[in-house]
Amino acid sequence: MAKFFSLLHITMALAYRDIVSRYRRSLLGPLWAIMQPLLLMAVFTLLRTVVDIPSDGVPYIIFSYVGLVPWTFFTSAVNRAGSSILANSTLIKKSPVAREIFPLAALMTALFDFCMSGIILAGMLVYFHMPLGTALVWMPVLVLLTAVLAFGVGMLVAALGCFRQDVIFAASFGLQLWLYASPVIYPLSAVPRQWQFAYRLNPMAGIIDGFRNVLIKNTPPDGVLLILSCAITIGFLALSWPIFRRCAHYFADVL
Amino acid sequence: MSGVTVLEVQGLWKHYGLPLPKMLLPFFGSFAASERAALKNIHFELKRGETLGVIGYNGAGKSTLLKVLAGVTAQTRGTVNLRGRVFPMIELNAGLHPDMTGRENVKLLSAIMGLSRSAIQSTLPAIEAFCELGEWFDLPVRTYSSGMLVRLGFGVAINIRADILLIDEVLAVGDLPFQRKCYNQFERLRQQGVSIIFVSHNIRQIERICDRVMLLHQGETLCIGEPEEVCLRYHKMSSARDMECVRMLLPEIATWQCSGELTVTSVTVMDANGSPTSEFMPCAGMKILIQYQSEVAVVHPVVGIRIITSDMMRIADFSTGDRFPTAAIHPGTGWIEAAINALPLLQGVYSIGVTIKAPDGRCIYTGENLAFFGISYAAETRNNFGIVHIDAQWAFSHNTL
Repeated sequence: MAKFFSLLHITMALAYRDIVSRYRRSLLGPLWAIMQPLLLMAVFTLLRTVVDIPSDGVPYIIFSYVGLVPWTFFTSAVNRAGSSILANSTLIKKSPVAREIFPLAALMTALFDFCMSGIILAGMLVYFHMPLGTALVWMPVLVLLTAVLAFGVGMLVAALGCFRQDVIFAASFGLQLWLYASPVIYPLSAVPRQWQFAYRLNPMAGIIDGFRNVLIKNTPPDGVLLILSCAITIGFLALSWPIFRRCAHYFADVL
Repeated sequence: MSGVTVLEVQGLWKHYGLPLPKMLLPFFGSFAASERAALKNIHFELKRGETLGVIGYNGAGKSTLLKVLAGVTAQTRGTVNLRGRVFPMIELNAGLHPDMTGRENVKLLSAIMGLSRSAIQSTLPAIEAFCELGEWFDLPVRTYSSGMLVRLGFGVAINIRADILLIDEVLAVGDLPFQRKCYNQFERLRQQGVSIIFVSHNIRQIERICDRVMLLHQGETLCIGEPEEVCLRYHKMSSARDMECVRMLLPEIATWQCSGELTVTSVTVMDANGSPTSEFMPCAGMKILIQYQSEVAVVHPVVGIRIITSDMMRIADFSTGDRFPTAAIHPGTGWIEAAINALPLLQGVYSIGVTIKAPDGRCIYTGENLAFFGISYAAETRNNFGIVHIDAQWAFSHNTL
C-alpha cells in the first residue's frame, strides 16, 4: 500500500512538472488545452455548411463538441503516453522506478486538459439547454474507460516506439484516421447497416456514443455497446501491458 | 563495520540487447542481443559501512555494473541481493527540467528516488543549505551555470538517506571547496554505516578512500581485495599498455614552443652506463641527454627538466638554477646531460618536459612529452606504495616495565 502511494506521488509530481513546465513560458497558458477541440469543432461546423452530416436532431455545434472533447482527451493521452518513455529517457536511465508511471503521468496531463475543455463543454451544454440529469453518474465510468484504453494503446506505442521511433510517428498518423472511423463528427446511426457490427468493434465507438447519450439525451450508454467497448479495452490492456513490462527491462539499454 | 552483508552479487552476467525471435530480426536487428558480455560472472559482497572501489579501463563494465545494481537495467543471469535502499549517483543532472526552479526540480527528483511527500519536506532545507545556491534556488534551472547545476544534482543525491550509495565518476566536478565538502559528507555517511560503491578513473583517490577495490577487465573481475594490491595490479596493467601506446604515439604527442634561436633535436633517456633505454627499475640511475641546435650563444642559461606522471601530475621539476658555473650554449649543435644517481620513483609511465631560459628569465625553448620512460615493478619495493620510493631506516626500541 505504501508502495502504491509512493507511485501515485511520483506520478502526480511528474504530471505537475509536465503541466506547469508546458505553460510556464506561454502567454495563454492552460487556455491552449481547450483550443484543439474548439478549433476542430469550428472546422467541422463550417464543413457541415457544405456537406450534409446528420446530428441526431441537436445543434451540430454541440453534437460535435460533445464527441470532440473526449476524442481529444484520448488522442492527446495516447500521443503523450506514447512518447513519454523517450521524453523521460534521462530519468529512466538513473532511476529504477516502475516504468508505467511515465505513460500514467502523461495520461494525467491529458486528463488535466480534458477538465479544462470540460468547463467550456459544461457552459455550452447549459447554454443549449441540454437535458442534463441522473445519467451524469455514467460520466466517471466513461472517462475511466477512455483513460484505460488510452493507457493501453499508449503503453504499446511507448514500448515499441522506444526501439523504433517509426511506431510513434505511425501512431499519431493512425489516430488521425481513427477519428474518421469513430462516431465523433457524425452519429453512429449514419454508419451503413451492413458495417455496423464491424464498426462497433472499435472501442471508441461505444465510448463516444456513450458520452453523447449521457450529455445530450440524459440516457445511460447503450449497454451492449458499452460492454463490448469494455471487453475490447481490457483485452487490449491485457495484451499491451505484458509487452510493455517485457520491453521495460531494456529501456535503459536502448535509450 | 558491523559485518552485516548489505549486498550480495552472485554469478552476474549482462548481455546488452533484446533476446529477439528470428522473425523480428529484420526490423529490430540492431537491438538483438550481442554476443559479447558486458559483465561476466561477477561475484562479490559488500558489508555495512564498507567502501568498495571499482576500477578498470573504459568499457570494462564499471558503469554497467552500477546500472544493474541500481535496478535501471536487468541482468541477463545471476542474482543481486540487496538489503536496504540503493541510491544511484549516476548522471546527477539528468532529468532536471530547464523551465522549473531549482526547488521544483529537487522535489521531483526526490520523488522519483522514492521519497514521500513528508520526507521531501523535511530534507528540503538540508538540500537547500548544501547547494549554497541562495536566491538562485527559486529561479529556473536554465539560468544556472554548469557548476550550479552540479551542486543542485549533488545536493539532492548526497542528502537522501540511503543504505548503499553508487557513485560513478561524479567527484571530478565542482570547485575545490565544494569537492572538499562532498568528501566530508561521504566520510560522515560512512561513519553512519552507509556502504558505498565508488567507480572512478582517479586511482589515487580510490586507493585513499576505499576499503576494498575490484579490478574489472572486459567484463571480468581480474582481482578484488586490498586497495594497494589491486591498484598496483592496475598500474602494472596500464604501464604495459601505456608504454605500448607511447611507443606508437611519441612523435605525435610531443609539443614544444621556441623563440627560433634554439631547438631541442632530441631528448634521450639512458641508464647509468649511458645506453638508451625506456625501462628502469625503481631507484636505478638515469641520465637524460638533451641535444640541441642553436643559432645563438647563451651564457648561463637556465635548463630545467620536468617529470610528469601519466595522469598529468608534475612530480619533479628541477633545473640548473641561474649562474650555474659551466652552463653555456654555443651556436651550432651541442648536448646537455643531467645524471641522476637514483631516481626514487615507483612503477608507472612518466614523461619528460624540458625548458631552456635565458639568464634574464626569457623562455628560449619549452617542450612537453619529449621522452618517456617506465619504471617496472620490483619485488624489493613491494612495501612501497604511491609514487615516490622512500627507503626508511627503521628503528625499534622499548622501555622495560
